[in-house]
Amino acid sequence: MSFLSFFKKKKRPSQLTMPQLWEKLRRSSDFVEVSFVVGRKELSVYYFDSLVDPKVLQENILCHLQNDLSRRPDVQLENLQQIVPIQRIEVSEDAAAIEEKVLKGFVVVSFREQPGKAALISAANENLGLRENNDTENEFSVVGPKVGFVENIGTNLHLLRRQIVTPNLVFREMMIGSVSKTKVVIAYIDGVANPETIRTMTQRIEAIDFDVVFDNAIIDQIIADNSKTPFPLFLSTERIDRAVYALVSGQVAVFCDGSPYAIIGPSTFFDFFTSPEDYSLPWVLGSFFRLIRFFGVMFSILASPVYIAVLTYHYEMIPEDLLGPIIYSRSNVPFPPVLEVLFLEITIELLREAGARLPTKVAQTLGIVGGIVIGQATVDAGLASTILLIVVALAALASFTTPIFKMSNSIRFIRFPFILFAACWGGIGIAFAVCGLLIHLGRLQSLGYPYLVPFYPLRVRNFRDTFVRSPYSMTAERPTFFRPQSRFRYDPENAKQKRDIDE
Amino acid sequence: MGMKRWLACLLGLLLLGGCAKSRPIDQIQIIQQMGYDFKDDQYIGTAVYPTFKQGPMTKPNMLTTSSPTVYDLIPRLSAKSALPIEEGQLRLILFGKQFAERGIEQITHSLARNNKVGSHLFLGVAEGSAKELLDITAKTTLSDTLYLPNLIKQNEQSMNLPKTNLHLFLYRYFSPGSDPFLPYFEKKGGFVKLEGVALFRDGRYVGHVDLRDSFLMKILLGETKNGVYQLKVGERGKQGEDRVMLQNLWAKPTYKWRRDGDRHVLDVFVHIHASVRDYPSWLDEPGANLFTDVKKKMEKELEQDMRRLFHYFQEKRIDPMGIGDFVRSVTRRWDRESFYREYPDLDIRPHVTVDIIHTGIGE
Repeated sequence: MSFLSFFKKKKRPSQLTMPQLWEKLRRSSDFVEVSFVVGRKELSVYYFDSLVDPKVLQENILCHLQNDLSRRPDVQLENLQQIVPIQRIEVSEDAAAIEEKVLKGFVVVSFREQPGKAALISAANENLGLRENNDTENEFSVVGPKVGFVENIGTNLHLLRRQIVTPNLVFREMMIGSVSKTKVVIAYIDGVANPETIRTMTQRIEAIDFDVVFDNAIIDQIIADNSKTPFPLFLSTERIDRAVYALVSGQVAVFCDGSPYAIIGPSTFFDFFTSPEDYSLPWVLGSFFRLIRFFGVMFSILASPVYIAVLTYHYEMIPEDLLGPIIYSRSNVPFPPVLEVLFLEITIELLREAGARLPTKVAQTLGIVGGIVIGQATVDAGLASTILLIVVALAALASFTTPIFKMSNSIRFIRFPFILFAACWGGIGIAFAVCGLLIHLGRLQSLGYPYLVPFYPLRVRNFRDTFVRSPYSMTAERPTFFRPQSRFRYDPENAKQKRDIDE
Repeated sequence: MGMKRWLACLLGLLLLGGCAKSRPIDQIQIIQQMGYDFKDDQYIGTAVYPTFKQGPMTKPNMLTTSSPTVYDLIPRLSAKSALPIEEGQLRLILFGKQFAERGIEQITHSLARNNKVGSHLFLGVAEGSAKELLDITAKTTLSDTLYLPNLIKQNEQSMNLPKTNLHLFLYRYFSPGSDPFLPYFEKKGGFVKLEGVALFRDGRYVGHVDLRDSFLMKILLGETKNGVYQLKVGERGKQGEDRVMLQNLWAKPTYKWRRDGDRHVLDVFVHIHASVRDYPSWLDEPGANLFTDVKKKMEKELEQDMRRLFHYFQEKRIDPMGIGDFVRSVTRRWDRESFYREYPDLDIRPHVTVDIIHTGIGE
């Protein structure tokens, strides 16, 4: 295990002195060190050229240091704030802390007369190279706001606070990643989210030992309760409304600098099938489309396995009117139904994978070429039956109805074990696979909360917002399975009142 | 350990997967109809299988073989088929009259235990030979391999044929208080015609009733909502001028078992909601409330026909109406032997109420 020790975090106390630090940083060519004399003060300014905003540096720091310092010789590092119009100025003697800050885009100012001490002035250019805005393209919704989170965590927190206007919205900041030193923020509403939940989330994130946090998805995987499951245990979203709704329900959101996704936990299986659009439409329509989505998932998982099972083992089950079309379309196919299905399923997966890797414009063409040309040619060549082509295409289409990309990937994946079970055992194989899947889902936990709730354990009261989206007069109560601190989102009596007559 | 257990499970799955007998649908010979005949001391089996040409167009084909035993027929048919014969999609089994007279238990017993065959399977009796009938349907129909099953279904759903299938046949066959019946076909020129209901005693064909009587059977068996019946309502000599075509909209029989002195009496109350579909023009004469008269006549005639039908059953000592089952349901210590000893002399009294609901537009 000796080679692994290299990756382990070594928490030795910093013995670094300031001159040693500067020596260490000077190895990099973008590290700038400026020393000059103003009045009787000799001062040095250190910063990373690539990290600071040159405009801020010149107009707000250098300019004031040069002009005002001579007029006010009494200014020390501690009261630099008096002449430098920047809100975040810290004074530190710890070389390690200075190192960290300077690497985050702070400008270090030190006076010869105060050795071993330095003022840290924030001049980081936080938006440089990042997107300014994000249209929620991956979680698109026709109605409703289209602003999504961006890579900049400051913007994300701002967006959140704009909708949750209460001092109870608490952000708790942490630093993750031994190399990336990524800022991670846990957001929750005090008085709604259960303290236990917050504590668990904080503990899990604090315990992360990783080098570079590229994205929230990495945090998601590391803090997941079960790393072997194909199902996502935390909801990740780029939509503000979804994050706000989660916070209001008593869930906890985690933001990570550099990631346009927020992860939300604890999540339930049903969270992944709700779309913000359900809440924009009248509840009847919203519920209907939600049910269609559940049907789509079931169809997507079961369609091709059932095709295999029926055609290989249970020909008795075929309705007499379907017998002709099925046998006719199968009659020229040289493979058993399993291979036929696997062939087409893998073709579709290839198309999807290729489409995702190609530039958008090419991908569209590819979709058409793949879908129409390859599909038709396969059938004409007698490699697959027409009916199967329809089944597989519909199943692929149905799997796209899942609003969360991670879940639709899981559904894509889960089909293949079902296909193998159906091929080996037929209908009873599918029954086994379904049982296995339900057992697996029933055992999953998200942040220690059951994943299948309110279905298992059964919480009938909380069915109001799972399979159907009940009208707002009925959803005043928060789902109890997250154990929120306060029970109601709004006054249920008030919500039920009918105001047909204007008084 | 965990890994080993998983591997063992996976291996088990693969090995067990080998045990399942797979029958890909394009590698079997599906037979949809089967005919059994008995001729010159030989059993003749006829299988009708579809061949699929150009999409949904199907063509029925026939396989025939003969054997001195019944059980040997399917194996012998296999000897003539390129693909294994599978009976899982059977929709109809037709028995020749001679075969049915010798008893069809051999077949129905094996069907009762066969898990591949659905209980929706139709059974039927052909007047002459089943083979001949299947032959005719195979030749006359272009794309419909299921001509006879569809014919039965259609007649059950909208006409006079009481509901029959393998399930009901077996139920009535095994039940101590009833006897089974099946649709009865005849060859009429180049066509097959449903002629009525074939009656069985202990799995043996004993006779049949025509389609008119099968309407009575249908309404006597339980609540129904279809069927037509032609009745004579007048005494005007010209053919067709004095008949009314009655269409059943809703009919329900109620049985009552009572003791009258030292005899048992079975009252059968039948309530029919009917529509008069066709009637002679003289009924339309204004002013007269003729339909009340027609109603009375109808009731009388129906009662008469029912009495005749019950007499026929009693004479044949068969009980397709399941009267034995009904009596068993209302008596303690019902005894099959003694009930059927008395059955031929049982007093069965039908009482019919006809309500004419409508007579079409322009009344």
